[in-house]
Amino acid sequence: MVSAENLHLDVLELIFFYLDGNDLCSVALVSKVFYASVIPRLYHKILFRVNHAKRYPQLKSPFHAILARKDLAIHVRQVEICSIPALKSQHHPTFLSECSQALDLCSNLRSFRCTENALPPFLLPIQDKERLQELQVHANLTTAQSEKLTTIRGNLTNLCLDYGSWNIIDALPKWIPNFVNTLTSLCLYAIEQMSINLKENVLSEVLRQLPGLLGLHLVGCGKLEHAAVLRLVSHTPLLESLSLSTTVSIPSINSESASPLTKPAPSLQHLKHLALDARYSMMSSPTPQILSSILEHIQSSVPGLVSFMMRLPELKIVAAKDFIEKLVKLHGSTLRILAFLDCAVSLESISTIIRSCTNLERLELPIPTKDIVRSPLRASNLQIIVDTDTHSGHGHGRVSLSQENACLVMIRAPQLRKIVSGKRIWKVTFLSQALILQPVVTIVISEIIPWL
Amino acid sequence: MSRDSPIPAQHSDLATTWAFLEEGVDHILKKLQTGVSYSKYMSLYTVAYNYCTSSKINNNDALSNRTGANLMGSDLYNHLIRYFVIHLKCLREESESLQEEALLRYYAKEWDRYTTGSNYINRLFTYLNRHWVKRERDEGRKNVYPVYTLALVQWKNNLFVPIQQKHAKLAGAILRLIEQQRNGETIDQGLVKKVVDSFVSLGLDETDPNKACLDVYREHFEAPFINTTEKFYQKESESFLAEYSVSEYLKKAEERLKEEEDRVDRYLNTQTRKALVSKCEHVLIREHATLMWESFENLLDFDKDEDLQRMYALLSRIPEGLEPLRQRFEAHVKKAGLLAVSKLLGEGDTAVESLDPKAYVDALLDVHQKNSETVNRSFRGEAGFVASLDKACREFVNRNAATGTSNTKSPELLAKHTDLLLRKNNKLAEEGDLEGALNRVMILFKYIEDKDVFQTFYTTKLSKRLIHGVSASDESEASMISKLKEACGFEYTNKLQRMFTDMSLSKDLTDSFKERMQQNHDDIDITFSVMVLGTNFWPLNPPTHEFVIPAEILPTYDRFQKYYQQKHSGRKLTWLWNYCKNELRTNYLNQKYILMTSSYQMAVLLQYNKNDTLSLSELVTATSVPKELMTQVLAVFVKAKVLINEETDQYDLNPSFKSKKVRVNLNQPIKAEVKTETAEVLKTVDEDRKFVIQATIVRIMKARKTMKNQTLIQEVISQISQRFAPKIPDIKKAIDTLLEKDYIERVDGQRETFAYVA
Amino acid sequence: MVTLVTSDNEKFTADKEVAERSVLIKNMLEDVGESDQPIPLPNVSSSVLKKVLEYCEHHRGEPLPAADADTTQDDTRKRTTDISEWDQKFITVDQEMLFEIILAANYLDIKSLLDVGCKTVANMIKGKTPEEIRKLFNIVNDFTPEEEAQIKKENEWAEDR
Repeated sequence: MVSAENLHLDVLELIFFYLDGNDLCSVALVSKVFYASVIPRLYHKILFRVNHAKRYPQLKSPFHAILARKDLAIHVRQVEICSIPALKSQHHPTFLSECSQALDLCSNLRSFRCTENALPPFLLPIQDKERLQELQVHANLTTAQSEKLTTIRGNLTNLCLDYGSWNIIDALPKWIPNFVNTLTSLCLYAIEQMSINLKENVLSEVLRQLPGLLGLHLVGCGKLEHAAVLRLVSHTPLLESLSLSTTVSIPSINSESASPLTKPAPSLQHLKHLALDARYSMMSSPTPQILSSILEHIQSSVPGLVSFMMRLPELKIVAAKDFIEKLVKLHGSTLRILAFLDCAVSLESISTIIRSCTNLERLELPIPTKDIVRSPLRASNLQIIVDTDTHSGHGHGRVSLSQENACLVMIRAPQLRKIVSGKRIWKVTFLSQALILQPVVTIVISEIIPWL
Repeated sequence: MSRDSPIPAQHSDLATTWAFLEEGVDHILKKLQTGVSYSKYMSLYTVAYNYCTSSKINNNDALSNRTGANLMGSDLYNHLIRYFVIHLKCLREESESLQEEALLRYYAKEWDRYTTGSNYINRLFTYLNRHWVKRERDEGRKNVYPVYTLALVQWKNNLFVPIQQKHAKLAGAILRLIEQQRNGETIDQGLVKKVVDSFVSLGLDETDPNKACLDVYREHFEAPFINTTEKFYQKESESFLAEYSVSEYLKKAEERLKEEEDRVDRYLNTQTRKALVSKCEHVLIREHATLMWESFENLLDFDKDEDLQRMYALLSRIPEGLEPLRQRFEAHVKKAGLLAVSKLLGEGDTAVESLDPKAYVDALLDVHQKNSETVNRSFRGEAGFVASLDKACREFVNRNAATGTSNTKSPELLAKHTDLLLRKNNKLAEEGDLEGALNRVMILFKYIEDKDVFQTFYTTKLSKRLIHGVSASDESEASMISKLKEACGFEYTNKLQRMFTDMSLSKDLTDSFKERMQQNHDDIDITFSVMVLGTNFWPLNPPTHEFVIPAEILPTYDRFQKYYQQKHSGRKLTWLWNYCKNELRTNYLNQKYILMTSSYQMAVLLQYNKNDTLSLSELVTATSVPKELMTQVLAVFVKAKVLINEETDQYDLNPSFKSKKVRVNLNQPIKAEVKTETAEVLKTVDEDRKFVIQATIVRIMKARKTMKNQTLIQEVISQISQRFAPKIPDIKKAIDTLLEKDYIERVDGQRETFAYVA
Repeated sequence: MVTLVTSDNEKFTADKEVAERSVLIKNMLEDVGESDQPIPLPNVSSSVLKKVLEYCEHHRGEPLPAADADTTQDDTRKRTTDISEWDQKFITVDQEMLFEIILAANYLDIKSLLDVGCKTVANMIKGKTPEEIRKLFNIVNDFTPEEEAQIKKENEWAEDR
């Protein structure tokens, strides 16, 4: 008789590979065999978030567990610290110390993220991680700290620096060449705004050494203009995804004028994903012309985008009709993912999108909850709709999507399998031809930074 | 298979399990050729599988780790290692007595057998690889490999390294075989390849066993191989050169290089190509480059095409190898060009003035063509050699024994030669190779420095051809102009094209004038045709003296003048009598003749309509033709016996004039005209240049507003050098002129700085 | 055609192409060479092999995963538990058979079948408490209450809140 307990370790590990979070915790409590088998999976990825930080130290940190049982450390592949517990409005010293000690033990670390401004204590322990491939850190560092960070060697494939100081930016041209054969994605996000310029020539020096780069994301980098970014990418002809901030250089009194795009346009034959972020413009509302001009500029060298995302400064602003028409005209046949963040999209534009983007699978936008049923979803291949209006709690009188409307939308769109709105996910399951809608309550994290 | 031992039951202990597996592994490594049955294969796999999955976490301390599973996998893994070590020790002992080729043969045979067997074993232990090995490597354990890689690591540590440690026995044996082959002996290349390949296979990338890694190959084979190669060819090339000529050496080096590249293809790793080739190039070429450079000229002198090709090919392989050749080639071409011209002048002491343009042009072209062929044939048309050829040609085309210090001689002769080509009755035109000849003209034209001199001569010659209607064909003229346009641009040929326009407009004008005359006047008995030519485009000057228009043609003159003014009011017509042609019919003789004359001749002859005898002064008064010119005109008539001059200054009509031809051409150029032509053309050139320099300065100053003297001069030179090489004193003179005329001014307080005056 | 012999000595014949969905069999045929010998499968019973062959027959001709495709280490791989409709029906069997199929797939090295089995078990576990899981698989709790409390405390961070 074969029972679950006979499924030896090799197989149990394969099964637990498909489980997450709570389920893993439950499995650990089933029996000794299950516990032993689930450990590698449980410690594979350590995510420390704000809800953990708030309950610290009542809640034992995973780092504490690793220090107590050092053999757990070899299982850790990813560490992501999104929040640091506080003690008297300082970073909790015990946490920092147990965390850095534990990190030191994690010899198989592949990915390290620290999005809080608390990197310095971890700089030493993340040195010498031979297998480190992904690094995303809050890089507001002093010169001495930058030096430490830039002694990291190894085989980084993804590097993302948030809120980098000028000290770390200056160190890039010397550091990056170490990853010349491995780095495929580089992201610089919100480099010290306004005060320091992220210089085009520094970046140019860096990018010249990375001709094989596939992803480049330069978002909110001070005064770095989009025209400059579009010049820079001539160094990286293999680029598949690109994110950039649209900027307006001189806030002149009457008109906003972006510095002209330099001809010839860079060759971006492989570009598939493009994200435009208009939040960092000096003016409150960037004209659609700027967004359109970028599309036009790269039009001849980009064969067809698979995904496009844009972010405007405010929900009140409606994404320009002309721009959307231009977008679908150029890329409608190839687009599979389309996202509009922090801006409104008119019902008419939604119709345009649905009509022209025949291959669209995922659409993210603030759902016009009342009118959504009137949009022509019928013929589309749309599989997922995500509502990007996350401010429903803040009382601007927004009606949330009703079960009835969700149901109607589902029925009308033949391929649609999932609607995500607020904290609810509507999923379709087919059971002997009958359509059943299950609202699943799940927290949706929609902190969308560029694709990594 | 001799006998199948019984399959151990599930959950058997390690000893039983391993005993069964070891027997199978041993069979596979030692006598695979006898075959394995499905059932044996499956039972081996199953036993290994069963053992790996038999782990139970029966440890009481639940909170410690899953060591049970780890133990199972490492049990098998460690036994495998132990087995490999013992197996390889036997092989090593057997190899100890072997040397050289015998050792290689033994090694290659065992390598084949071992790797085949290990592949097989690797498959049998797939489950171990898939789970235990993978997990261990994932968790960062060093020195754990998939079974096949493990087998190779063991081979390296227990067989390869120990043998190599004894004076690099393996690599040494290979290198000695290769040396034998270099000395012309036949060797077993397959054997070498097999052993060399094994070196490659033994390299291991710790992070990814599937990735090729050349560590072992580089250290144990490539480095010593490159080393011995260097020594071998150092010795060989030196002793070869001591005995044979450079030409022979070129052949030898070429063969050797090819041989070594072939060697890479035949039995080495392709990664070695670069190191090997660059080492050979260094030893075989770089080390003897000076000698090659020195013998280059000799090869050129004797047209040793094949050797030149070979030398080029060899030296092009090393950096800076060709530059000395290019310099020597340039000098060689220049010398040949100068020699050709001297020879031309030397033949029968030809004076420079009477140098035949065709002979001169041909001599220059011959040198160019011969060397251009050399560049294409022996130096593969390489850009550097083309540049050297151009540099040398430019030198000898513009400065040679015929030109002396004059920059204008070559353009003049070339223009004259072109004129001869484009004239009617030129033999080439009949042969249909005119186009080719014009193309050859363009070859030299490219080298001419003072293209404006050529332009001026060409314009003069063209105007003559057009006025006198002696051009070979409009087609060829157009072709030549389009060539010049292509070489120098629209501006250069603008005037030339306008001349053609004038010609065709004139033809239309003559026709329409005739038509009008026929409608209005029936008294005309003169055939009249006219060319109206734009003053600015034609290098023609009106006569410097008065001319009395003979009464016979005066009505026609007046009518045309009136007709033209009607058509184009406000235009001024200047009559160029000195370029006109006239034909007169004689009525005073038994036989009618047609006399072809110039205007002045016509004016003189028409005087004899009224008189039979006239004195010199009477003729001068009647025609206003100056006396000196008149005497020459009359001399022609006297010589042709149209007039008789028996008494001083008295000329009588010859009533018994006779000629074999009905058409008598009296219109011959007068000597004085020929001589002054060249001088005048050159004067025009000088005037033009002054103007061009001034215009250029003004244009530059207008753009830059202020400029230093030195930079201005440089800018002028760079802008003008396309057309001619301006002399600095001329530029300075032009600056002075412009200062005087207030086009530019000196800037106060700044030395040598000028400003544009708006 | 190849002949397969199960642990209970039953013979099955199958197209070579179908049998070779099992990488074990595929490798063996490659290594040993083809012959008409029967292939013994000492770890698979006839009832299980019947199911496995049904699966292989349905999926014949589909591409096999690359030999060294790394499956567990990268997290970018979609950990979706979606199962195709046919596979879902196929794997709707009693628990014992489900486990037998998983073990057989693991033994015979049929990756896609192993995945289907593991996903199915994972789906059964999802959303359940430890006690429910024990009940589902008939597992005895071998922890002491102290151990249980300790583990719970230690892993609390991994829970979704």
